[in-house]
Amino acid sequence: MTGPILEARDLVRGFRLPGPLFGPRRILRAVGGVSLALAAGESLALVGESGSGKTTLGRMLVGLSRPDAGTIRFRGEVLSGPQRPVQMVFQDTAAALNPRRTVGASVMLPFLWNRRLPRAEAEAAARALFARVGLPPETFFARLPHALSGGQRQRVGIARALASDPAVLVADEPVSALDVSVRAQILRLFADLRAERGLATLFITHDLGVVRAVTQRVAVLYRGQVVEQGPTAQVMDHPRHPYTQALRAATPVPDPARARPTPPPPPDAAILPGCPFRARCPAAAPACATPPVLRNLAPDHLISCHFA
Amino acid sequence: MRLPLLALGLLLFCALAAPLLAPGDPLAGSADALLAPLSPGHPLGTDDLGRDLLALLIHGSRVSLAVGLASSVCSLAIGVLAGAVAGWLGGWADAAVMRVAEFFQTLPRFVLALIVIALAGPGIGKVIAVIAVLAWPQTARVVRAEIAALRGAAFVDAARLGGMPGPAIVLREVLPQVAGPVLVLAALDVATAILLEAGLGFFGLGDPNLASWGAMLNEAQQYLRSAWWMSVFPGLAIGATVLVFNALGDAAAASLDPRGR
Repeated sequence: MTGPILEARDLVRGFRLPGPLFGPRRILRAVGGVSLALAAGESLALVGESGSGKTTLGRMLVGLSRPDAGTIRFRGEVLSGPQRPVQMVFQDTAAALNPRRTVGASVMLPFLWNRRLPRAEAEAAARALFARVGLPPETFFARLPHALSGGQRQRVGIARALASDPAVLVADEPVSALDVSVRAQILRLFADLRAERGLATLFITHDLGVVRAVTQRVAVLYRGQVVEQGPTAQVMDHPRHPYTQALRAATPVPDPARARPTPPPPPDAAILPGCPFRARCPAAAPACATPPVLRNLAPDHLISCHFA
Repeated sequence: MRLPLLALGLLLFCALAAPLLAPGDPLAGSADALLAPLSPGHPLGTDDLGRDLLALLIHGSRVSLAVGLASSVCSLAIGVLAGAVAGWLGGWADAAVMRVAEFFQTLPRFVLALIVIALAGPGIGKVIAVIAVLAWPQTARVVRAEIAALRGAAFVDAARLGGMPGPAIVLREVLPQVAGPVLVLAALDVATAILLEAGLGFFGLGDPNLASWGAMLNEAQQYLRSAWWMSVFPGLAIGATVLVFNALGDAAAASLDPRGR
């Protein structure tokens, strides 16, 4: 196997919180030393609850946000700033499209700038992409975003990302804002495109159903750190980290006979030293005061827990 | 939208075709018709020097529109540029631009205009410059606020990922979003500039070689009781013109909302 197409090493990103007028500013560490690798054509899920740092990590990977420390390499070369081969699909389909431009113009934009095509060629290429993502161009190309449904807008967003001819796609909660009925269609589109173009895809999501449906590997993020990582089936069916177990148990199951216990509610207590999950962990022990390191459970299964 | 545009067209036509429309030379008085009331020969009467009021009024529209439009365009240019720089760059540049804007906003407009014109001498160019310099901070503030809010928008991120360089993003993706409020402000700027110019003329600080509505009002002061037409018609002209530009601003705001199309 060749090396990973996109590789992040020890990424750290903090945000300054609004603090008191005097005295030290508090810093929120959204991402605290994450390493990830994505192979060509692979589909990796990044899961975790709100505030776990998923989106911040995704923004750093596409170059929209600069890490405080750590490096991102694309095909071995260090990336800084947005790059044509690494593209993003956004969560909020309405906010991701310029409300004053026709959706056709939005899809033409990368052809015009990233790929320097003349206008006529850019338009022809954009129309072809519309057809590919399932929007007849004659109907949709000249429309404004507000005249489209959420699912249609997300198709436009996917077409726009494809317009840059990327090798890696970072999809930040691409279906969480969509109706359940169109989710499957959009996920199918992602799967087809991956097969067709050999696109490596990073799915940022909190929806474990999405994880199972479209990804081969999964990385579980908790408070800015990867706590477990491995093949999707293995991690989902036999989660080893207590947080992954809690996350899986929290997924609603429509069968009351199979109801599962809910995990403890998150305390807003200060972050304790040691394992980040310590305060909520059902298996917490004194040993957890020392931070666990990410270690190999199996060659392809990583975990950060003293007891797993 | 129709009506204010029609009115604007009429105003522009009056100003551009003034020599053709006006009955005779506005500054030429006739000694045998001083303070003459409305008559077929002088539809709006004459002033204390026997000048035809209709001719003065039509020629006066040139001054008002020139001052209003020119100063509005100038203040728009300064304001959009300053606001875009402040809003897009943020931080240090933002603070610097905004302090300068605040300085100009704290100056009492009319008093400053009076002082500048009194010291520098009257002249239409000076009036335009003074009004523009005083009016830009308002535009800058609006542009800055809108751009600062849009800087983090997802579609701006998408444009960056699409390979658009920063200046192009500001120009093509972000600035068109603020066109609505800015055009509204520009129209209101025209209206306030016309009022300010008329005020200066009223105080005798207009250009003495040009017929202007403000100067007409200045002369009408002494004849409020004896020749009502001298004050009523220029007053109506100023009021109507200001109203037209306010209505234009509202219409522009409504038609630029993409959801309304």
